Amino acid sequence: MSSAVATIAAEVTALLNAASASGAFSQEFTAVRSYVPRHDSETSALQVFVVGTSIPSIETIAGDFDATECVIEIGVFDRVDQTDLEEVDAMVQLVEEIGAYLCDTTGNIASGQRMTTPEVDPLYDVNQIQNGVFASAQRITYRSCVDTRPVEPTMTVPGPQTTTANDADGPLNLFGLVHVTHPGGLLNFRVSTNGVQLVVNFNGDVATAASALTMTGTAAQINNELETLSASAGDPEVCTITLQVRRNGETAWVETKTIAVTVVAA
Amino acid sequence: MNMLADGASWMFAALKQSTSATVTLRRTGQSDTTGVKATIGKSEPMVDEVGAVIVDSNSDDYLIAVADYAFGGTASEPTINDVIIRDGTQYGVLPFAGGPCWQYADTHNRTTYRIHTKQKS
Repeated sequence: MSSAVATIAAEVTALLNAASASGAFSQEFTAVRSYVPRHDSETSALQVFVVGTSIPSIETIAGDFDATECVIEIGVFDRVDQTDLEEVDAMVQLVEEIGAYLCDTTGNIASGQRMTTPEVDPLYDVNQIQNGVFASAQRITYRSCVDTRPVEPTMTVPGPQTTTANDADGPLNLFGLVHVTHPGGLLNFRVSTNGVQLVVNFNGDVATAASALTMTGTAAQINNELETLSASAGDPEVCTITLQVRRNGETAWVETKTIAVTVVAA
Repeated sequence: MNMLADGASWMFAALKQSTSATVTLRRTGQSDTTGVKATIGKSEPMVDEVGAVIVDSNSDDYLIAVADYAFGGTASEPTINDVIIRDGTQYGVLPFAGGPCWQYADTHNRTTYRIHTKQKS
């Protein structure tokens, strides 16, 4: 999904539904993401809508960083008897619980957005509640910081290598041979060697194969056996090492380098 | 009384005679009033917005003669949370479209209430 607001709205919907199914809220519901949510006042079931109400606005906040904001609205609707205080209290409690839950779980938003304080307006619509409908709208602003620094890292690879075939197809040990450096620390790097991929996030120390990379400051070093060669002993083979820089899930920069390898008899 | 008032008076009398159902009126703290003639209708659906959500509202309306809307023999204006019971189904008297819960159906003679209700869940 490429739309930022749609991505966040979908994540919020999934988050709420998972929480509701696990009993995190005082009333169970299934939130529905919609562009044109519609509630029939005759409906007796609790309805929760998740709507992306504004596309991200971009503002440069400091030097190389842009802030983006988009607003997600969560509507809570149900039939109530306005004179039954306990019934209305329960709905108000649910609205509060949803806001508090999302505040506590912003780290679970995969897109890395951070939430500002929820704005609940209206807590309940006066005209609707007189007509027997509890109708609440809660707007949550998700804010993210985007690194706009140049993305070109430096990848150094070794010169021609020889490797010993341990078996028919021997591994090439790249330990300490490939280095990646970047002055920034916020970018995802994706390093692959002939199809084997590693992902490293300098900032969060996230790697799909944690033992395969060593990170020191703004540099990463491949320290694992990544490559399986198909060449027979004595034959040269070229290993391809590709470095991708990914920003917000998209490839921003790619560089491919090769290492000439000759397999020698054990 | 002018011709319009005469016509309205005739029409509501005819409605009561030929198209009405029998309902029970209920109000907290009062004895039920049974056997009340009421003509059933609906208000124009209302569309409202609460945040980004569109809300469709309907009202089941009951036309009941002013003299018939009574508890313990005393005529009374409808009030919020009165209940009209028809065929065992309860309809709560509620405001509709941001207005009051009732209005006169015949503004000339003021002999009939148009009462807004919603079926109780």
